[in-house]
Amino acid sequence: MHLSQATRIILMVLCAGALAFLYAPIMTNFVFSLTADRFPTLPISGFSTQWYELAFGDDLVIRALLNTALVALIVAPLSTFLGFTAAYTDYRFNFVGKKLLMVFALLPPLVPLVVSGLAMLAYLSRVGLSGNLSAIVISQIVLASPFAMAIIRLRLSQIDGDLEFAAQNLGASNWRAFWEVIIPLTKTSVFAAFLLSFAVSFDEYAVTWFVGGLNETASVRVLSFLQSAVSPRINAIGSFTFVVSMSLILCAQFITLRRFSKEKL
Amino acid sequence: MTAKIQTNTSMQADESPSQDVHIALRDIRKNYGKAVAIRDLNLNIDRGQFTAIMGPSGCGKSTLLRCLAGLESITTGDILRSGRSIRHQEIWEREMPMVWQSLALFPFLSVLENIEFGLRMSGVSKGERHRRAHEWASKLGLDEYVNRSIDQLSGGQRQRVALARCLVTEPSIILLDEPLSALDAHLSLQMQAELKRLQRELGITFVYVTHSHSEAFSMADKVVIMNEGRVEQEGAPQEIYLKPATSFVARFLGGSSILSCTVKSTETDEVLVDGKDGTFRCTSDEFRTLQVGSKINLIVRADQISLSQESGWADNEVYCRVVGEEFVGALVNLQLETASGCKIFVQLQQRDLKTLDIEVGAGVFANWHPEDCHIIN
Repeated sequence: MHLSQATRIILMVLCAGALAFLYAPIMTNFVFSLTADRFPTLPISGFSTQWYELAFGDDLVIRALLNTALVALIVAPLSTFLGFTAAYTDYRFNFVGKKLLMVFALLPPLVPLVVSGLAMLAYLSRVGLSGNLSAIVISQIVLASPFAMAIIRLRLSQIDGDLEFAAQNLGASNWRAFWEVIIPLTKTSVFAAFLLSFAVSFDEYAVTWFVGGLNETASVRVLSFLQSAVSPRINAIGSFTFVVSMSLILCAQFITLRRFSKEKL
Repeated sequence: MTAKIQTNTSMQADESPSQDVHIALRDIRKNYGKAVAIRDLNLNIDRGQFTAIMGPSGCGKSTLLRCLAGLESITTGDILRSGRSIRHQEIWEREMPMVWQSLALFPFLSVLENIEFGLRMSGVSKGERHRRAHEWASKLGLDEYVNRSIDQLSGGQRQRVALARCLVTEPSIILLDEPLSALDAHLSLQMQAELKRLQRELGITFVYVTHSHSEAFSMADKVVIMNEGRVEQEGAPQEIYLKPATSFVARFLGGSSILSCTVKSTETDEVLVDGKDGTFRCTSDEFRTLQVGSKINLIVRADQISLSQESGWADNEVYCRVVGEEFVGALVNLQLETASGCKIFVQLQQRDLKTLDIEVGAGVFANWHPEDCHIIN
């Protein structure tokens, strides 16, 4: 499509405007996490890493970060596994009610978080699991596995359904065909699903806040800071969390998209 | 004890002289819920022969192949291989490699790795695998491509990889599911010749499913024509071409005119039959047993009908109007219509058409000899 110079400039300005609108709040967060000032004011009087030092010097923050890492490391592999089994079931088998099952499997992230959080709290406390890390793990798996399933399902949908049977036809047993065909073809998307589940777990605060009791993850800690007193430490933790989760998501996107463009060639 | 007796009988079956039946399909029925894909089908596939199964889409030919490979289980009936039932054998135990319509090559493996896949599954050592895969790659002209990935190959080369992947384990039978349908006409012809040559040289059983007449008739030793889950006719290509057994087969193969008639007299050597467009004389043997008044379908092949501007050229004639023409190389296929609306198909040399000087819309006499009339059900 041919565009005149003027149109081109207008489009670029519009794009820049849209990006600024999306990222200005986060950039503000970033900038003020590195100021020497107690309050976020302009002009900035100087550069300082004091808020990061303060934040990472806080026992509560460190414990929250350790919790986050521990939870994410359990949630991500389990969600990926669950997501994979669901996606593979959808790819390989046909049965009555499959569509309905898939709708329900994809639903949890769409339920308002307050509703999920309350429901989880009510349910988990009834079975004696609320207020500890396993409660957080369970709730986050519920939220993360649909994402894992969606990524792996997208990959499986591109795979010729005959391939596994072709392997069996050439002498591979059921399991062998699965390992020889499905695993090599899905491994990158499984990795992407792992990263995305990790990111979901890392970011999640609402349901975690409901079910976690006294156990805090990093994002819940930010919430607690906000509730007590506004401190630039929030900017520091916020920026840190943003960088980590965005890297995870970008990695996941990169892996999935690279796959796509490779196959289009 | 029972097991021992069974082994004995099956061994005898293997050694018996009636070995030429490789695969026997007995009363096969395949239902999908209420839909019947294959109904009470019986068929023998001869050892070392090229059997082509053809029919319109939805006739059950692909389902039949999938049942053979074990990809679908049959509802009732039995499949015997050299006399032994393989009905309950798993897919991976059947040793009937298949060339898939989609080819189903493994995209993450190189050409060589694709070819040696079957050997790897059966635990052949790496050196031996490579040796045999290379051997087959070179037999099929893939020498220079062995290290390439599948997406760097052309359609024809992929086809060869799929074939090599099947043949490398030296099976006694391979299944082919419309393998040439994705190739262009030129390449398809080339592959047809190659497939036929391979089958002859290797002497193994080929079961080839296709909807293409030319593929089936140019390669097969035996053609099986299926319709609605049943076998309509089976036999040598020439036999089916010369004498289609049912009006379905005649229509499916095309190029034959079918006239419904009533037998008028059987007194002389010539049987007279009445059609909507006149009375015809028939002399072939199959007419002798007919009774006066019985209704028959008369069939005449397109290449046995000639055209003329004047009446009186042959014993049988009918006046028609030309409604369509199709040029195929040096031949031309004409479609005519009689006064009663019956379709007559005629195949002529293009130069004959020129001398006749007829075009679409013109009236013409279609003529044929009494011995070229046949009956079909």
